[in-house]
Amino acid sequence: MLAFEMERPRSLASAAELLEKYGSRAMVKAGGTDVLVWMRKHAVHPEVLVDLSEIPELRGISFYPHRGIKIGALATVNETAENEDVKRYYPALRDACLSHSDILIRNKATVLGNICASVPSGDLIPAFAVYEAVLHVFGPGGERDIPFSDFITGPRKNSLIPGEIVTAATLPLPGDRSVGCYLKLARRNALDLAQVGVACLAVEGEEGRTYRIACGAVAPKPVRASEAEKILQGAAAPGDDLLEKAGKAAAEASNPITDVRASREYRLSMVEELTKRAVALCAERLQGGRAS
Amino acid sequence: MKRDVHFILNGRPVTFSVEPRTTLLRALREYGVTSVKRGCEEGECGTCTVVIDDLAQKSCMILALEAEGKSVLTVEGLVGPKGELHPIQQAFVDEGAIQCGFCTPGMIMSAYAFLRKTPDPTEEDIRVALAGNLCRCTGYIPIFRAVQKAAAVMRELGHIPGRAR
Amino acid sequence: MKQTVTKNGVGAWTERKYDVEKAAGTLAFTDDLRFGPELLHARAVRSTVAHGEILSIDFSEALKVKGVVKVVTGKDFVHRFGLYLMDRTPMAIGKVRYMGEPVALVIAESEEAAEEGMLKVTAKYRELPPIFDPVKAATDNSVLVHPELETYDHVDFITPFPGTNIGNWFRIRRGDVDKAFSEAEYIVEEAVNCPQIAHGFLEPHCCICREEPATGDLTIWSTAQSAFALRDIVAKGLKYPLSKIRVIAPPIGGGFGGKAGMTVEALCLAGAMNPDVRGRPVKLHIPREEVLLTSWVRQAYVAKIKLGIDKDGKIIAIRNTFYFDTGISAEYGANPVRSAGYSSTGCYYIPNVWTDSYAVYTNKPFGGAYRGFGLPELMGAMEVVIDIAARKIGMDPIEFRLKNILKPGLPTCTGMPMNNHALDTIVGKVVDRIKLNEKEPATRKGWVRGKGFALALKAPAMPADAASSAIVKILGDGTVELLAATMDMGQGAYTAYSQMVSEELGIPIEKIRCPYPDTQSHPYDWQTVASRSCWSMGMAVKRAASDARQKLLALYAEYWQVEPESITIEHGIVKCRKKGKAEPIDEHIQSGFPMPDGNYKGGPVIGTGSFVPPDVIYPDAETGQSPKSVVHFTVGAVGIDVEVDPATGAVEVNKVSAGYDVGKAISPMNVRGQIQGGTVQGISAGLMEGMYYDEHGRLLTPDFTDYKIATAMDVPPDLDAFWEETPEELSPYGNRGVGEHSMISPAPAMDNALFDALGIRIHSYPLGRERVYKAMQAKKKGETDLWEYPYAQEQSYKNAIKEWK
Repeated sequence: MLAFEMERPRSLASAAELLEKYGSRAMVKAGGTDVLVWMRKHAVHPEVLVDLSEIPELRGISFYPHRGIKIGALATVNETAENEDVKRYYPALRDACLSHSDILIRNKATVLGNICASVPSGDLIPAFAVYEAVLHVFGPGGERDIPFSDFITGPRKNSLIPGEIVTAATLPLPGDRSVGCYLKLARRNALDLAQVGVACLAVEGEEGRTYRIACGAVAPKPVRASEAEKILQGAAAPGDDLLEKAGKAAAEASNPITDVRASREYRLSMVEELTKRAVALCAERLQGGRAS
Repeated sequence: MKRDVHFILNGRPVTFSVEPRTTLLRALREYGVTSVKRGCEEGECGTCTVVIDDLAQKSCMILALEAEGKSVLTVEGLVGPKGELHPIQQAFVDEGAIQCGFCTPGMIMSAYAFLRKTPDPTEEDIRVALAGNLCRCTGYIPIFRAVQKAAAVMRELGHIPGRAR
Repeated sequence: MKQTVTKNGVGAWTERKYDVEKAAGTLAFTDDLRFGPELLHARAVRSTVAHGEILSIDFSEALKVKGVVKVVTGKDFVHRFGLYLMDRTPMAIGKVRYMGEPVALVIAESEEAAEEGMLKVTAKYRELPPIFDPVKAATDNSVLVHPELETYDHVDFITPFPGTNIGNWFRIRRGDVDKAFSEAEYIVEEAVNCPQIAHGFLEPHCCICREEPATGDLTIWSTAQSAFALRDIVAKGLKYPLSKIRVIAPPIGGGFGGKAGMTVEALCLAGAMNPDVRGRPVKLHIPREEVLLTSWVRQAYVAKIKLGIDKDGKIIAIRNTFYFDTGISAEYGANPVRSAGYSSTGCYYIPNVWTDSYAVYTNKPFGGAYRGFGLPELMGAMEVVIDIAARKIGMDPIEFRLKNILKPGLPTCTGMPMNNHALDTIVGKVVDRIKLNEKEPATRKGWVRGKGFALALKAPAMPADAASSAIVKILGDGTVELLAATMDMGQGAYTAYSQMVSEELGIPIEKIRCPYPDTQSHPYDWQTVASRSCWSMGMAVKRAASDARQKLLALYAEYWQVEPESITIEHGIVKCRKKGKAEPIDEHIQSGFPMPDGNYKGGPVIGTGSFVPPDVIYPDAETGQSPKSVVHFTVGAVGIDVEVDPATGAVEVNKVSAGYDVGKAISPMNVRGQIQGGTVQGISAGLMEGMYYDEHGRLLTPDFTDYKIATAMDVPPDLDAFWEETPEELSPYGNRGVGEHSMISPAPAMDNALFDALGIRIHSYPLGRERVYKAMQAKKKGETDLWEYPYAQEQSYKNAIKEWK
């Protein structure tokens, strides 16, 4: 790795100051499991690394009944997966966490780091999409919230302006009852980037039964398969026909590339397949009373 | 610009003088703790696994300065004062779970952190826990046996999760 | 009467040597060695084009980096190296031949400074058209990778063809294949392909070299499987006497052939021997993502096999054409080509044989030794074609194999009679254990299940004069030092040798030490490859230990005034029951015994032993025939039970059964370890491994991010590893090699299992999820075969996928 200076601020305010001072010469780090690899491969060379891991207000996961869960920027993937409220109320998030890399990396990598890296195959991204997360941002202009649907703008690109830090994310409780899952396809069973990832929620709410479906690794931005969701609206026990239609709609909404990990055609077929499975699984779980 | 980092290494307080870019892996090796290996230095192989405050982590993904105030454990720290091997180390030897030995320290540290949290694991639990540690020689099968054996020994000896050794 | 008694002799389950140090983390690998602040660090600058003339290399900016001491380029170190064919230079000279080829070496006070310097070197190239497709490269001479091929020295048994891209051409011509084909009832002609794959050892290459400035003597510490072969190759390349070079080989973290011969050492020497550097040791540690760009890969292959079968199901003719893609160097890659060639009737007796096995140059990283050495490639095709043939003629695949099997005494494709073996028994057990003939439903809902089988065989692939030697020293306290230059890279060689020494000397195994190789202290051994060590070095070790024993017995006999035959050595105690004597071996063994005549006799007892295969004759260059082309064959079989998810192409292995006839298991724990480990490696390769390039020749899978190997979650839940023991005549204890064999046939067994499950034949490895899915889609369209040629070199990978439609 090329040389850099590292600052370990102890407050958000000093972190923001540092980012403003150094501008584009600085990069931010939480777990560092992406940044360190990028630096080692010479893909990025920040002069200054601003390490957030000493800032107390960025730690922790708090659950607010009837409102939702707030995940701090420093919450690791494993901490999040093991959190009781996540297990109970956010199963798709938990699935996504457990599919991320391996148990060792998960002890260091952060959920919000995965989101901010904004890599199309990021496993936490579809889950944040279906839970309609809100990102809390602190920056030179003060604080602001970004709805997740506005956050990722392209591969490795998001709507943060220079100097801004995501401090936490709130995932509102979906409806009265919900179940969810995240299904991931990769080249082998462990520690691999997703070729395709589909997160799905089945929600019992005011409008009755609704589904939320998001697909990752199949487009420059996360895909919210709204056509598929429309097709499934209200269906308590979607039959094969409906699942088929929903799957195809999800594929229609996707625009994957061909790379060394998978071809476009395979990804399209698998988005269809994983969508069908995810929806069926959620419907089953909600029927079976395994809900929050 | 070098800076000092203070932490506990295998039970002893140490101070390293490191550059910010120095990973914990390289800092440990520089200091002489060479059980921690350079297999890939990009988080894919697990040969650099150490245990930091009870969590198994890949030291190539950690900057040395981040170890400030923490407790770091490597296999050198599992060997007893009279040279006795920890039950996990002994189980690896007994079960033929070692061939070239390069993945062994990392694998043992992963197993150590895992068994302290999950003292009575299923084979499936073990596979998931070790999925971040590659081995090319053994085919993993004797490693699973060794972890089961170590778990049994540790349960018998009363190794309680959270306690030292 | 056996005169020695021990608990841990040959055949015992015993604790392995060095396992305690490995578990304690204190065993020092090459990267763990410590030198002082005088140590320099090297990093290679690499070509950014696949084929081109070097116009300029500008390292002026690199020299300005603090800590950079020197930058050397190819022109500063003009030496050619090679084990069998000297076609390799450590850095490109004048021309680059693959993307990633070293063009310069930056030497600095620290690794970080070397890295920074490396990034500041710029090279300019005039690009030349590259060739990536081995089949095209073999037949089309418009792009030549080595136009100067005729100027390279080579051994007699390798035949390169200047003016072409053929680095070696091994031939078998026996009988009359054309006539046999014309008389055959059935003709089966099929092809199989496989991309390059990587060894995947966990320890990257690492090497430290130092030139003594006053004498020019070289010391090399390196992750080498074969200290002496390395020394030989370096000596020949530099035109140095052997005694001027010392090689020290610390324990290595996995080899699998990838650290055989000479790998990165010449590149390191280019730095260490530079006049501005020498005297200081230079360390070259290869980062993971550069491993495949600096040293061996397993050659890719396209194999075409044509069988002629008579009406009774006997194979009467075979025509083999193998194209091995050896990248830019055939210096080692020439030999797997031979190894496949002289085994090219596989486990079968076929009277008429025509084989052409080619090592083809392309503009890619280069092939070398890989566990199996030509046999995974051969069997990857052969065992699939055999399966296809059986089904074509309507015979059960096992029955078909047994009908044609190479029974002991029948000639192999080189005309050599096959040695004794228990292949029939192994086949029976494997078939039984995976219930091959029972159609069982899938255990996973919606999945389909299939079972497949493949035979395996291999002989040690080595020159006829591959020699071994060993020295046994009995120390003054009854402990023993064994100097045997085999590299124990985890296979357990030192444990096995210690068992042999224990067997021959009656000394407990805990008292026997086996230090790692150092050419300065150890006697010569050719290489630790070819599954030859327990056999060849075993002979030397046994002879050396026996020699020491004879000397010891003779001394005690005179000391006690008894017949040597009445003396035994039991658990380290020398006894003569007749005379009521029982004494531990003590300092007399070192300093001499006070004999009855009052004089001291003896002096340190040293046993020596040497061995070279006595009767191997190189196959004839035209016909490939020889009465004894190899020392012996180890045979075996693999059966695999798999399930496939039709919706995604995911393949899960339910059970594997793998058995080999090892002759005698010297060290059962290690035999089991080799069979288990190699089987998993074979499954991993078959299911998920392959090296891929973009249209410019850039390797897309240089490291573990995209070159995936099996993790703990990919291991079959049920792996049955077993062996049979049909003793080998010429052998220390009846043993034959087994280190490589388990890697050979899991892949074709899986291909056969997938055919059983899916009803479509896949002709391309690896059998990854996407490919299996594609195959199933193709089957739905009525296809019977899926062939994906991985060398979409002239098109981009994107375009290649359009073949789907």
